[in-house]
Amino acid sequence: MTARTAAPSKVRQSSPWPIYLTIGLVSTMWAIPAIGLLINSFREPRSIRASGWWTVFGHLFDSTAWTLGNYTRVLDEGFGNAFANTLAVSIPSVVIPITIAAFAAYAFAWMDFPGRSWLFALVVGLMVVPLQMALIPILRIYTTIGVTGTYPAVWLAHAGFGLPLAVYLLRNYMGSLPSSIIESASIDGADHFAIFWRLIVPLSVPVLASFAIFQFLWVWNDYLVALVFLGIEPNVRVVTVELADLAGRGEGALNLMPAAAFVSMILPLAVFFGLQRFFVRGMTAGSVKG
Amino acid sequence: MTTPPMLKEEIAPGAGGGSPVGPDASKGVLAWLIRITSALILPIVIAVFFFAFGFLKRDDVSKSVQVLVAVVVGIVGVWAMYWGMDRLINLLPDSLGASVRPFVFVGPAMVILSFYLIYPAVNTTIISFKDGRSQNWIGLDNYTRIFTESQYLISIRNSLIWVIVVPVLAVGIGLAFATMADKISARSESVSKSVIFLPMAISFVGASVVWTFVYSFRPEGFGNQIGLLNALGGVAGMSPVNWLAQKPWNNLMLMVILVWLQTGFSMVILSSAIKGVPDVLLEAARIDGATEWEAFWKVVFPSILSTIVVVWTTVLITVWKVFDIVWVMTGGRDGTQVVAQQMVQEFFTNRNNGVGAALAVLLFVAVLPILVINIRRFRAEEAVR
Amino acid sequence: MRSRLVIRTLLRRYSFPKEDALKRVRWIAVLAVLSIVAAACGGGGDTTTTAGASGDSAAEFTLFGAPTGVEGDALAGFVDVYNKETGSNITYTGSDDFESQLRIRVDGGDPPAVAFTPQPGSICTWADEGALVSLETMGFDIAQMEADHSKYWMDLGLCADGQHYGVPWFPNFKSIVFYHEPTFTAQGYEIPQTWDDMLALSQQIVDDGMTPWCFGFESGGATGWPGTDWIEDILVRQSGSATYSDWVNHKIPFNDPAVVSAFDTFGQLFLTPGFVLGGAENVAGVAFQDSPGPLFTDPTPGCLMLKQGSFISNMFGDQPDYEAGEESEIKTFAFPSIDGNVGAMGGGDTIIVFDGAAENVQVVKDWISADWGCTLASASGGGIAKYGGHGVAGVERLPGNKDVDPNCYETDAGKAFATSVTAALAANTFVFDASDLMPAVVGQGTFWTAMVDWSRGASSQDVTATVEASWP
Repeated sequence: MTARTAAPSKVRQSSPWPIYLTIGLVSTMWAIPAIGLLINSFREPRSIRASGWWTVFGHLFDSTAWTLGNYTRVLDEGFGNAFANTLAVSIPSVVIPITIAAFAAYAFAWMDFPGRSWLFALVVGLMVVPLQMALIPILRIYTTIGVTGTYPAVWLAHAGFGLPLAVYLLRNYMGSLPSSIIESASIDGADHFAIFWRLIVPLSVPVLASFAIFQFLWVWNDYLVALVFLGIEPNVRVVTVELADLAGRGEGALNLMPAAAFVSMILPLAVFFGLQRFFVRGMTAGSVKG
Repeated sequence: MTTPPMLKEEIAPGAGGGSPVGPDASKGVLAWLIRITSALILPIVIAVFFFAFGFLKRDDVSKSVQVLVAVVVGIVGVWAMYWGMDRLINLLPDSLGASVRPFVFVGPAMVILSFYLIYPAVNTTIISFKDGRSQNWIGLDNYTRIFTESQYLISIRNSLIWVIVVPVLAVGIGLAFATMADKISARSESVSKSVIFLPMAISFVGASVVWTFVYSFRPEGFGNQIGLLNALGGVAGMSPVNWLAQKPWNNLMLMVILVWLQTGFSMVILSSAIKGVPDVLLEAARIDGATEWEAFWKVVFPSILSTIVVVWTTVLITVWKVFDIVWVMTGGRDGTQVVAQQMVQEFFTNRNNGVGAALAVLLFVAVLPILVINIRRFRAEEAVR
Repeated sequence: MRSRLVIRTLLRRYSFPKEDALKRVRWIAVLAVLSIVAAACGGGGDTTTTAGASGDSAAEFTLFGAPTGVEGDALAGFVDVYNKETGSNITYTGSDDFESQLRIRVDGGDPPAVAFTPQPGSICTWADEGALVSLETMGFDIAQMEADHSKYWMDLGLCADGQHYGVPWFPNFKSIVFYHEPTFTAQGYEIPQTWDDMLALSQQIVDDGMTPWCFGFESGGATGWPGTDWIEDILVRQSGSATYSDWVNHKIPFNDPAVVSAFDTFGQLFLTPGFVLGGAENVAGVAFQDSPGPLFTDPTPGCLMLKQGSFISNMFGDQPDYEAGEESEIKTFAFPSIDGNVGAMGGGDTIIVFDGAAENVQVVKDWISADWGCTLASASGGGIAKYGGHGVAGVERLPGNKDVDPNCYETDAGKAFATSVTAALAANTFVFDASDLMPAVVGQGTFWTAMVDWSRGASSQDVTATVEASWP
């Protein structure tokens, strides 16, 4: 609601056309490679190799130029199961780090404790630890305690790998909220927990949504973590592992990957559209007026 | 009721040591013991909670039950545990409680990070002083190698170029786009932002195929060009070019791919920051007669500067760690190697753990200046709010 | 004061889920429900499938290997036939990233029970680390295996402790050249028997206004590998298999004169102007998957010959100018002799055992037998397989056991390859692709790069010296 009342306050310039033009141009540049992929996903495998995707514009209505075959092959077998597996992996892998990071980010932003700066620097620095170096030591511990191949093993691993970015983004956002909000609330008698839960979390919805999107995309498109900690047996395969299997030794890559890429994009895009309404003007503005 | 929140005004500059309240109860060994214990309780409970479910073994129970448990635990359970801990702390004397509470908030994150990232990082550092099979200590030999052999020096040079070029383009375009998109109709904004965001949703393998259809090269006799660049070149009368083999421009060709992928990230975050700039400030500037351009530089830019630094840092670290683009497109041939790709190659293909680990340590150490910048900014920001 | 009022309102507002908060809760709920529904739909099936019947000694493990796609399907089909026949419960999983995955799983303490690797060079690395069970421990008959699968292949798994760790399973064959048969017939070209014949034929084709050869070295991160096959086939003929083994084992340097000479011999063909479609300097830019394309160009093929592994015929159907049935116009001949020497070069998958339980050992013993080799051979097993074929049309697997009947194959090409391979195994003349045996730094790195640089004009001496310098 804050959003809706604020939206019309968007200022329209006297001449928005230069802006529309620039936006249109950049969007086109970004879209062209993806459009190429989209068009190729509907072409016969041989045509993909025979001629550029742009040649379809010469015979747009020639039905023999188009096929759904790539999609039917991609969706043929095992894909529904892989889709379910990926959801089972990704939803908790998004929710868990957000909860944990939000508490930590709040403490880094609004509480004082010894070693705070150093701990925060450490968290930011951990973003640079390459995932590849972490897999073997963790797998060794997982194997020792016997949790390899369980969902919690994958969830917590994704949570661990996503936490530095989450804490960093959330702390930055929470720290930029005006201190007047918190002062007033504490004068009103709210304690840290109440301030966090009732003020900071609602005010941080845009950044929570942003992080949720990125973590979701990351987990959704992850191949390595799922492969190592969950396994590649057909019944636990995630979508990316399924697609890698489909692509085979290079031969299927150009033929099936275009269709496969679009199939696996559907849900991430839906999540993006679903969360986009949280990125609207006025989420925080309303609270600091006056 | 507990103590009021420790706001900036109450924190002594550079406070690393003391809590602002009652020195008596919050200092001393016992207080630290309590802090550390309380920091550990939650993560242990969470871990046990997760792993105790023997039935979560992948084959035994239907996925729906598992996901349900995870979502319930992830949201309600974890939250409730924090809440419970918070209530417990309220039972402590006020000043002690206030000094323990931050540790309860930060504890779970730090424990998870210690396990998943700090421990592997330490492990990596140790094996960087060992030989290829991680059996014998060889001192600094691996480091000597990465700073003297030409292939590693080239990869370090290339990585440095990557971390300058890609963040400039990705953050610059993302910022310009987010700013302009903020000024057009809601529907156009939503559509155009989705287009920029789209590459982020494509899986990595998909992205490499996308760019194959841009850079693909076929010499005379192998049929039509299926790569966009060579097709356009053909229209302009050029003979086909093997783009990914043209030194040094092939590096730029690879960087373009990462810019295409990362601009969506910076655009989304910057866009939400721009939307957080209070309307009143903008309106005031406009009433004062500022043009949109001036309003941006005087009002919007300063307000989102800290977000720009955050996005910059994040993109920079992503770029610094990039390996898959190079790995898939050129395998590091023709002068396109970068540090992270060499690291993966040494570690997994060449089975030379020592050099791979030394390259990883180089990655960690090189970001230290970035951390210093962030900490400075973080302190400066707190000093003024 | 007003701000305090706003804060208080906010506090009150968020203390109770009003519209905004409610929406937030709602999408979380929607996502949760969605995931549960999806999980229920997709996941329902597999809880029941694990409850298969299994006797007490039936093997139950996951077989791990590199083939994916249709080749992986064929292996899964083979395993299914075996499961049905014996009541075992084995599943096959393949990964494009096999070597790294195996490395992670072994180092992480979670190795697969049984795997098969296309890189015999790595077997002793695992064995030296104590990860594998030796054939002697498992009670294999080494002498019999050396007779069946060739001593050469068995020796690839012979490690520092004098024990064998690799079980030869199935090879692939690379010493072959594909050619456009109708043009050969129309022009009256003869199949070249010697290297010099092949050079003369190439010149003849150029004189007749056509291009003899197609090449494609591009393979993403692995660009260059198709060129290494040429050097290996030439070296083994020109300098003999003893020199070849010395080269692989680094008993002679990589830039030994024999190797430089192999590059130069290849250069007689590759670097002659007009012999290579698109020009030798551009070969590193042609995707190996695209390299058969010009064989199908109409009316005159863009090129007439292509040397590539037997697998390339699976890609004919994807070529732009391919028309149904045209694959029958493409025939093969054996890579010609040099100085009277012939050879059979290829790759192959070798089984390694991490868990030597008796029932697992029995499975491996079964699989390498001639009977099961026939099942693995083709979709139908040629109609003569004792247990039937693997059931995946179009995929043929060459025999790793000399006793597999060539009639287990459906296609003429398959029968011909099988005959060559079984003969080579029996005579112990089958050699492995050197790049699969050399240390990964070389075999999957600098050797490939050397081919790329050489194709663009670097000298044989320089590129081989660079590889030698990189040898660990």
